[in-house]
Amino acid sequence: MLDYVAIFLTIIVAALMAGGALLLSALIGPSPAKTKEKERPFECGLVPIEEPGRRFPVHYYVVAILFVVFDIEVIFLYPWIASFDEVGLYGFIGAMAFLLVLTFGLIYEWLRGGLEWH
Amino acid sequence: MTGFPSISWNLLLPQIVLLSTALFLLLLAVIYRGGGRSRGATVAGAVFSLLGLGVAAFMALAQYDTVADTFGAMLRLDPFSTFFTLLIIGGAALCVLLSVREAGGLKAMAGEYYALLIFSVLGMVVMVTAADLLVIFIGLETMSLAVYILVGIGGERENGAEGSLKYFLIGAFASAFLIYGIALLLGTTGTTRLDGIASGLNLAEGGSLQLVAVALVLIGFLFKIAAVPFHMWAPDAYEGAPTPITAFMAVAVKASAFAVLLRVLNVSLLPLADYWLPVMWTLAVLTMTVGNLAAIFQGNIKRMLAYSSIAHAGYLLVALASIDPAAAGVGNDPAMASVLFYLTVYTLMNVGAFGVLIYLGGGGRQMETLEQIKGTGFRYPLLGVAMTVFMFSLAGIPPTGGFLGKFYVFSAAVNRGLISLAIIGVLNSAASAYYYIRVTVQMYMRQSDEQLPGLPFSLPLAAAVLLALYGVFQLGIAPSDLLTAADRAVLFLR
Amino acid sequence: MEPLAVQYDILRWIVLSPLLGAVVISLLGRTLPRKLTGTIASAAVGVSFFIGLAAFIKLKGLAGHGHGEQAAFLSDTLYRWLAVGGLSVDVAFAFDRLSAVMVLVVAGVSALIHIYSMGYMAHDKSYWRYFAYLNLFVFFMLVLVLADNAVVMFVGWEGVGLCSYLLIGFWFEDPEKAYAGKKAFIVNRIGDFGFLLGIILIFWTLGTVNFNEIAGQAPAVLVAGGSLATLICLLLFLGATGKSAQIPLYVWLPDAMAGPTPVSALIHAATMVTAGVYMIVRLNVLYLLAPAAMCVVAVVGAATAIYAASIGLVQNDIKKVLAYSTVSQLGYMFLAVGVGAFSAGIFHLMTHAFFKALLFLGSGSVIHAMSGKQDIREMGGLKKKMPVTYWTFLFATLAIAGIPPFAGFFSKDEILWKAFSSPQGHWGLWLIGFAAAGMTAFYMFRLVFLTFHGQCRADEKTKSHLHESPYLMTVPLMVLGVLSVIGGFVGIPEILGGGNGFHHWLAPLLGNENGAVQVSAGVQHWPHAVEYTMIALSVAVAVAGIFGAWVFYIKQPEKPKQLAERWPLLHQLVYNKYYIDEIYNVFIVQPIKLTSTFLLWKIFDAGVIDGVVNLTGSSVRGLGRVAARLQNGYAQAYAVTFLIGVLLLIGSFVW
Repeated sequence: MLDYVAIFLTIIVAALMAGGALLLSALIGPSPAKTKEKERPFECGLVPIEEPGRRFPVHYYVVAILFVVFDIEVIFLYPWIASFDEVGLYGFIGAMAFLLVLTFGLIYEWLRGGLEWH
Repeated sequence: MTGFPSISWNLLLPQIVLLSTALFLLLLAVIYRGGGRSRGATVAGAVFSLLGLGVAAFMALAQYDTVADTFGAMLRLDPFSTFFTLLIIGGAALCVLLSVREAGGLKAMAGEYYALLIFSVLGMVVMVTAADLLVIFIGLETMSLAVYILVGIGGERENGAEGSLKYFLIGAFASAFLIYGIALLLGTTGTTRLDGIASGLNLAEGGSLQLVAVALVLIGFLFKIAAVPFHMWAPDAYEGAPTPITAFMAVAVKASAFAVLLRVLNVSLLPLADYWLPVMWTLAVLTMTVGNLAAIFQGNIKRMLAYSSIAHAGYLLVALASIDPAAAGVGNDPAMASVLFYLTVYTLMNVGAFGVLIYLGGGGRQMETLEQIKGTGFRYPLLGVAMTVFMFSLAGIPPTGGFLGKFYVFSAAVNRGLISLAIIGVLNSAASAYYYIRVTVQMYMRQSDEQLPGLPFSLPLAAAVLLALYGVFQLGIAPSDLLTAADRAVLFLR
Repeated sequence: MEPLAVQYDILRWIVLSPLLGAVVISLLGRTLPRKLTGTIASAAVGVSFFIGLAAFIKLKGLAGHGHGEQAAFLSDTLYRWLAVGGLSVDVAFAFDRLSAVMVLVVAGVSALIHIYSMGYMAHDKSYWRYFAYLNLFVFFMLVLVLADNAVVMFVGWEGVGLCSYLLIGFWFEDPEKAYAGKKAFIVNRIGDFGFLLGIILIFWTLGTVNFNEIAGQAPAVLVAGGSLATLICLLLFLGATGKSAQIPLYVWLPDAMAGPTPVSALIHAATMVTAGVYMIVRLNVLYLLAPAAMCVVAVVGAATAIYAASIGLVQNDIKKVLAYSTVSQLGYMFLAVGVGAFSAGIFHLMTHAFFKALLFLGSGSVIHAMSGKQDIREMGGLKKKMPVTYWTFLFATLAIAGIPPFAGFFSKDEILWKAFSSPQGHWGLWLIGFAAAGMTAFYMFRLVFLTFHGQCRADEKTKSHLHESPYLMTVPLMVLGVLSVIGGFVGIPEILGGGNGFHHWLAPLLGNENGAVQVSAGVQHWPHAVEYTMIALSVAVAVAGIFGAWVFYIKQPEKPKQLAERWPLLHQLVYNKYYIDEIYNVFIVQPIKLTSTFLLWKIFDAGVIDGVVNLTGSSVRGLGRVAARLQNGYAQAYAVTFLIGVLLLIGSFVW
């Protein structure tokens, strides 16, 4: 159990820091009068021009997801390259199988029109 | 320098076939993309899915007697895994037959439907052949992600999207617990291998942290079988999903989760049997009772079958609570074999019931509530008879397979001296007759308020219903072969 | 000594013939002419009867002097049903002395009722469906009585319940009738659960479900009077109370009268409802090991006998009177088996099958003539219009009232005597049975007098239609009439100069495994004078009942009304069947519904989940909105339930 003391301590300290900051600001910070103006959102002192939660085109997400997928692919390929000599043909086939499956996904997305912006 | 580790690729043939089929179907989907050609996509999709499943089943059948470890002992092939591989593939094939009409209605997503279905089957097969918790996790996620999408596929049904989202959120929640549990087990026992965990478990040293880990791992699987209180997602997801997918979830997802549960409990967690057996007892009682009581008050048949499937998970948990730790791997334990038998029967009768429901909906008139199926028994006599048989089987009335399944499970419980559990179980099954019979009462003993339309004939649907009907009777009247196979399969759990 | 088993291959056709009939009719029934459909159905059952007769003769030929030969049986194994983990069950039939009696009674009465139905249902639009169900019923009933093990018996047991449900709800256009069918089915499921558990317990204690092996092993394995034996027997008896309509599960039988009258005669009087009695006699070895359970059986039987008889006193629906009478007579049979007089129970089962089937068929004939009316207050004076019906009905009534030498006299008298004299008996049990016998005579003759005697009280239109039924209906009545008269002669007690052949026929199957200890060992300790007195008393009470009915309903017809007015509360109580249905509804049905609605719906879903939702503050939607969306609870609420489950599970592990 002793091994975990550090973890517990970290949790407690983190909770105290976060909670304490909120508590302190509530206690010692000025409590302004609640007027209508004060409740409104603002941007650098100006009234916001548009809604903050703007909607992005769905394509943006598709491309983003695609990026994540290939990003992770690269992460997997690094260790393979680093140990290329050791894993040999077995490693090569494994990596190729991995790439092949991903390629199928890419072909699918491409044909499906996921890469076209409009 | 390790060189080329010996991997017996031929042992992996079912998985390879399934993966190729799924990838091929994905390409097929884009070839056939566009609304106008959705019919071509669904027919081609169904045909190639069945073909792939058939070949995979054939491969699995060919290695039925093989007992081997492969992939650096990450996968384990034995009659137990093959039994479940075949059960899952069979259930999936029946669901493909049920899907032809429903998938046709999906228009743009018709092709992807089958690809996703096969992907999830692949995940299940990996799950049941896995010998390592991490591989189980990978299989489980492959299965789950595909099913999450299938629940909400099409996007036109409002409650489909709702059910899908809920399933996904809670499913992600459950997966987090599972992976956390695996991590804790790795930390405390030094391995994620199923057989290694058993020897690594040491309560004196690992203390309660190991127990927490075990609990978290079990929760991951209990979620998939919709055991109370991890069941809340099930009614929404079942009701929202396209009906064939509902059948698929109730049948294949549940079977694979039970397979893993059986393997993990027996191979890894046997030293802790004193801890989990009473937990299974409690869960079984809760799951049966909540499932049955809630099912009584459902007007929607799909939702009723969702709760009924929760109740059936409860009966199966009765068998898990009756496992004899002393018998594991040495003699045959009726408790474990009864799970295999029950799941097979359950697959058939559930697919059949959903099949009839889909068939009834073919006339352009919704057939989902008790109100809507009034008088259908006489308008469509064969469907009426089939539905009656499935309902009786679900209620556990002889001479159907459902009776033998329940008989087997409850006698396993009595065998272990769990008489009170058996009494609760049999009482539950007596109560369940109420809502199953209500379906036949509505079909036969009430007049429909309006003229019932004629139903277009559908070969795949008819084939699925007839196969299920045959199976339910076969397993009720001459079940010996399956019983022998189930008995033999559980001998290899170690 | 093991009983001798003789392979007899045609045994299976006793069972398969009606199944074949059912299949043929359900496939071709729509297209075949009506007459042919009915003939096929009747012939299928007739075949069963004649094969049964052949088997009976063969069985008789086997009888030697050793116990093994006397307990010999014919057997026919179809195939191994399941063999797993020490449990092996064959689909096999055994024809021993007990099943011989049952097969002949079931197939014989069924055949007569099939013939009768051809006349009775002649104008029904679902004629073929009726005969398909009826044949299917006979199939399951024969499976039940011929089964050589408990699991196959259970298949028959559930099957007859299923057919009963289908036939009660046969005229499903009437929601009341469909409801009656459902009620019968569900009440029976409660009993079946006991039966099933009993079977499972038998298997795990004795390692077999085969009846012969159970009989052979039970005395060695089970402790006599031990809690295990008692538990098994009580569970089995729970099954019997459901199927045979005993307290507390009798409520479905009176409602079951919603079915066509021949169905009431066949299923709810002669055959299916006696299955519970048969089952207990079949497993008599187990019951002998559990005296406490036998005592329960006897007390429940006696209580049911008098309770149902008292309700029968004031019912006005001709079929309801007969229904309560059936419940009451079944009570007698349980009283008999409860005091160890197994052969007397089966004897009464047989004679009851004759005269009660006849009574129901006769009432069917009356209802047929009365254009469907069933209220006896609207009948009267039918004697002249329907002579055959009247005379056969009268014979059956004399039989049930226990007037010598009609069939019912011998069987009922034997039960009363055994209730008094057997070691498990008690004078209290006898007194209850004795009082119920008086009531039986009274309400049955009330029925006869109100229906057939006096002035006709029907309206003119009905009156003009009055007619005797066609031959198809009256011939079965006459056959059953003859049986009601002479059926008792096979069991004339020794004291009246008979050989009590029936008892000796069954004796090798009763008692413990070597047959040395006979159940009725206590009989000879009583002086003959006592037995004569008892016989005289039971005849006297029957005559008194008849006389009472004559006074009330012929001589002074205004008397019953006066009595009802003098004790209005009592009359209301009895007339409304002691409000048992209402009590069940309030105390059993509603609580379950409420638990379900409130606990699960309102409290669990709405209370816990909504509460949690509000607590987490993740939703600000109003309670009303939530209530409207009850069925689509919130995902975050699901997650919280999940989390609670996780904590509980971890807690239970770590604790």
